[in-house]
Amino acid sequence: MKKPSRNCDPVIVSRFFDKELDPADNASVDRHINSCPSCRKMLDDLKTLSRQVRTHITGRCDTDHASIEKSLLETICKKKTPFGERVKEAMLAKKVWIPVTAAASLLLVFFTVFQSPGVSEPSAIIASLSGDVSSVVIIETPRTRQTILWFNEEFNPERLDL
Amino acid sequence: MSYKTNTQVWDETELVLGLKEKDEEAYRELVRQYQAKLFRIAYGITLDREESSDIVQDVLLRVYQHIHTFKGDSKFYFWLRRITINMCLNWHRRWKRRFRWRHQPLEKGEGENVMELGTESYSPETLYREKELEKILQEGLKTIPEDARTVFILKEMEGLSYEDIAGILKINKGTVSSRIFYARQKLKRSISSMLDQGETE
Ligand SMILES: [Zn+2]
Repeated sequence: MKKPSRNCDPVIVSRFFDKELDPADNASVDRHINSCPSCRKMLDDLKTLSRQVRTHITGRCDTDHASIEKSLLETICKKKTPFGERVKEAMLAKKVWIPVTAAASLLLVFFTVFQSPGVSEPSAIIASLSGDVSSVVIIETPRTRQTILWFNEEFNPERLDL
Repeated sequence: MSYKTNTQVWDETELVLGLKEKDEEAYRELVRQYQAKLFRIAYGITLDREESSDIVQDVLLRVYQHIHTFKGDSKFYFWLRRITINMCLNWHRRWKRRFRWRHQPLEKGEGENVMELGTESYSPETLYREKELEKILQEGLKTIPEDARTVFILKEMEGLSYEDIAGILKINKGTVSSRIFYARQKLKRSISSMLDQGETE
């Protein structure tokens, strides 16, 4: 049995398994693996792991797709409101959001300044609201203080398709 | 203009056109054709069924609303996949996810029904071992940091090249390679340590 040599590099075997080596390297690594039981074993383990992961994830995704479909179709039917109504809804949403975000940024500043470093893992999410303009998460910290985190994350499909 | 009925297969161009014209049947087709594929990606990254379902619904709804921004310079599925990945990695979601995991480590239904009745092909022992392996894999996947897991899942579930993954996540090809390697090592190690623990119990 051949001793593991410096060729027996698990990183290389992993890249070989993913077919990510240059053609020249690929050929020599292939030859090496065929003659080296330890690399052969690494490669077989990678195959097994990959199969197990795929089976596992696929199995856990066996979910109720019909109900997702139904709820999505209901949502788009609701979205088909007249243009004027939609504008009014958007205005209303902003009216609520602006004061909330202002308060949130203030609080955030407050807690950044007054919290001692390295403590206060949050212990509960009190409320979490997601809007088109921004999202707010209100959390409780162990000393029963409340912190509001404000996320300004406007959906920008352009950014999503860079 | 008349669109396809249920039994016909839509090609990508027709589907995008139908969506741009806000055709409801096209939307139905979008959901039917892609939800399971996108769900798998979302689940691989988040390991949370409820959240994956949320993400997929959000993606499909936003695609319907913003279809005009699809320029057609990549395959439509690639566009959907990219939006899904971005949605999973959105830091607001990541933050909440991390929080939830800390406070409810097990997804509902996980590790339950371990003692189901055996059938001819599934003896109680086989079933038990399979359930155990499932639990171990799930816990093992959770030990991989999300950045590495995302890369690993895109490799395993979508079969993407290192270069494609690097492009989607805007990282180096070398980083992709090392994260995949790291994810595999980490998973292998957690699986074997859990198996060892199981044997000594
Ligand atoms: Zn070797």
